[in-house]
Amino acid sequence: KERRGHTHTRGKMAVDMRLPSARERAADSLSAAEGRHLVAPGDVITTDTGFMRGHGTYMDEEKLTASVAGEVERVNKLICVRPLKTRFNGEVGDVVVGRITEVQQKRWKVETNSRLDSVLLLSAVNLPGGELRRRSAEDELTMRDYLQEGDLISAEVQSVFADGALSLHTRSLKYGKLGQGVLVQVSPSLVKRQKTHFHNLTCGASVILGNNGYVWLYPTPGQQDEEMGGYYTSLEPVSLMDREVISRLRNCLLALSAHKVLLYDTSLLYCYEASLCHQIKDILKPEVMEQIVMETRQRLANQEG
Amino acid sequence: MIQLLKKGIGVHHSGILPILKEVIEMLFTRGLVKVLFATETFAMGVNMPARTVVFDSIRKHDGTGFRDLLPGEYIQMAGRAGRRGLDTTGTVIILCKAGVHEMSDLHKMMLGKPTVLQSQFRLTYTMILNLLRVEALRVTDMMKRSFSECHCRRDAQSHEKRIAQLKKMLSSLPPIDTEGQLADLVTYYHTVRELTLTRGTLQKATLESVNGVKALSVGRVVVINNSQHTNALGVILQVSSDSANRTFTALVLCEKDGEGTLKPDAAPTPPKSPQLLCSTALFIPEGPCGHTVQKIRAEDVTGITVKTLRVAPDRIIDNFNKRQMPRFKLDPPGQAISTTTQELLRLAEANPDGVATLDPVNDLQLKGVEVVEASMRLRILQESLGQFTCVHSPRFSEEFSRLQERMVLQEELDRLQFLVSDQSLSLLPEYHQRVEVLKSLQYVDAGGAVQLKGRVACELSSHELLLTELLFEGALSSLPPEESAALLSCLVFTQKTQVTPEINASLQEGVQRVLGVAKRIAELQRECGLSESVEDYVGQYKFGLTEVVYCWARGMPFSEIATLTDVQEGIVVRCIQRLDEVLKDVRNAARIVGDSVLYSKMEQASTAIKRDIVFTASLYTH
Repeated sequence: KERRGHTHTRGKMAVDMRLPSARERAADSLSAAEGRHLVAPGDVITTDTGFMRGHGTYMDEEKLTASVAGEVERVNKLICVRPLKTRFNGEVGDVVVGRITEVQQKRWKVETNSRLDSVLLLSAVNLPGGELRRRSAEDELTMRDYLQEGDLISAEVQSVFADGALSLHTRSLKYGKLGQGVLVQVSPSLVKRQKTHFHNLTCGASVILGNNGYVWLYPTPGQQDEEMGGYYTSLEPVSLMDREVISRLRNCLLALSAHKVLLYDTSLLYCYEASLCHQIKDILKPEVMEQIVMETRQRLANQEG
Repeated sequence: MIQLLKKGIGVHHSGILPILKEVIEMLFTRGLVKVLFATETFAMGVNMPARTVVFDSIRKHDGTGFRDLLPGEYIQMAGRAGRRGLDTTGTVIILCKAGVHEMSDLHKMMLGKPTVLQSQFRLTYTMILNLLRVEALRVTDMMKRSFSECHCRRDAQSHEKRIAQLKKMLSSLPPIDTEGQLADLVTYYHTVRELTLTRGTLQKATLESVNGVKALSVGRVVVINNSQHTNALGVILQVSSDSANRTFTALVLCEKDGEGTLKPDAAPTPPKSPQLLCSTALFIPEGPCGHTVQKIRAEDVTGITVKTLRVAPDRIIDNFNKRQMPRFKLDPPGQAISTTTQELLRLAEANPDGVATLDPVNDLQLKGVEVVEASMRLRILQESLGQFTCVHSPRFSEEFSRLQERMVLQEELDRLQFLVSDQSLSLLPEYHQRVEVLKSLQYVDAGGAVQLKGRVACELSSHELLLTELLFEGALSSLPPEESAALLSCLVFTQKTQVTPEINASLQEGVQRVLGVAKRIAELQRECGLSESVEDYVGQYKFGLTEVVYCWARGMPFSEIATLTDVQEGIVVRCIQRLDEVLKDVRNAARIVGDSVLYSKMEQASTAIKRDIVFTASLYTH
């Protein structure tokens, strides 16, 4: 049980003060910059005319130039640039975590860190009880009982409209409204595309790595909770131990994203283990961040090698 | 066509322009066309009643060969005769141009069984990629639900119940004691099992071979091993003529009081010690020698000896059967039987350790790989039997029987679990091979996540590999729209033509490029284990319509197009319509990739071919 600080205390409190300083360059040996073609907007990629141009490039007087800052990707004769900082460009099958912004007629508008708000149609959610039927006018009127403005959901991209807006669906028991947990926002390009984005970490918490850069950390559900699907949001109090694990994971995520490390379950777990020797609130200090991330990078490099 | 229609005669087949086909159909419905010459597809249509149906022939070409009409096809076509409300009966006439047809053929065609439903489930790359994109589904789940797996799934529930039962039974059995001398009990069990199986295969091979069958003729002395006799000598009296389950009638040596009594076969075989398994010591009756005449199966014959005897089989069999009757039970055995028995006994006593048997490899000339390997393996196993220590343990037999019980249950459990699992899907090996192809072409990364190339391939509905490879090689974006349209016509045109199209140099180059890519893909597929041959794969892309499409895209009127090739007009129209869909797919793919140049080129090509008579709206929708 936490003790709230007494308001009467006039004793000294430790205050942490920092002055701005130049950030040190990370050790080159671990950055694996060899073989990666990094460009800034306006950089000429190639003058060879035999290539097709993809996203992030444009033709400037016979020269193929980059229009965003990122890494050049070449697939056979196609050249495109994958930007580092970008809005989420959705593909069919991506898992996203989003927040409801509007409740409209027969659909919800969901904010997913993309250029346009995504759309979640009423026909694309599971009805309570799992029935399969046509949505009636009554279902339309009770939309707000299920999802309101401000709710967080996990969903999958079903299709992409011609203008780029995403159409989402929650037609599986593992998608739906999210309950108690912590949301961390990182850049979408840092989330690795994997077979599955739902992980139960061994340190005692679970994570949903949304492709749109929104990462959701929550306590691992018990056995019966999983059967309820997206309807039951457990309001049982979360234990202190779980809270500490989740807080530590959140700080680790922020550390990894500050150093632009690719996020997936293994990197997150290594970072967590590397941070165990520090206090949770110390992880956010720049020098501690650097140390933890370097250790994580080393472990990842060893594992691959 | 107009001349014919004026006279009331119509023609309807796939080579006619679609809009003309609709005109003829409408005229027929109104009754203005009195006689219509049509193909099978007309029979599928609705609202086309006819008074009489005349069959020109009862054979047809179905793409792979000439055959008779199936009952279903015949009924479909003949059933069109007779207009509801106007005729009381419909008439079906079959012309006999080359002589009257056989009664049996007609009977089969008109009254035969309908075609059995067969699953046409095919694993395509598009399907696999689309399913790999979605997290929630696995491709094997989809395959499990196909009709081709229906018969396996039906039993799935009963298998699950049995598995639960077996698991309970296994857990209730006492554990096996493997202390001290019994340490190699399990290995012994497996060795014995392999020994019996190898012996069985060798025997089977011997008895199925021509030389083996010849050797097992009347009068041959054989060694019998079954539940009643152990290494007993017998002589063959009769060979059944059924080649599938050959049975032999033989005269076998046994104990005197064992004559004619048949011990129940159900007694479980006691564990055989190594000496018994390897020994070929012949059975010699301890008491007075007796004999029985029995039917034995091929599996009971463990050795064909080199000796033959002269026997009078009929007399022996008759005599024995007579003495089976209660009235003659006490009669002494006949002359023929006693001489034969005496000879067998003398043979057994002369060679107590076993008579020389015909060796499958050397004597019966069975040189097959399996036979030679099996006999070598048999020898190795027999030698290894002597080194087991568990046989010397005092509790050997009871432990062995317990182990046997447990092993039998375990094997059944394993078998059922295999059937219920994913491993028993018949298309599973093909699925793995296709995923191999996708991985090596980098559509899917090593972990199973779909890459950019794979996402592009998902958009294409047919020939996804070829189109994606062409796209990423820049073959389509460097050509002007008309030429790329002409090149892509190879994906929709599937017929052979006699006229080779005359095309310009860049198109020729394009054609060679397409063929090169197709060859590469086909060879990769072969490497990964798929059974389609390289020539078949490359040969499915036919370039007969390239010139036609090129000229059409550049604005030539349709009447001139028709003179350029010998392909029928209706087929040309259909190909161009399907080509438009392919161009739409490539346009979507270009949007995903981000190549705006290709996007606009495909749009231009689409507008260039979408004109005039090829794309006129159907008359039914006016």
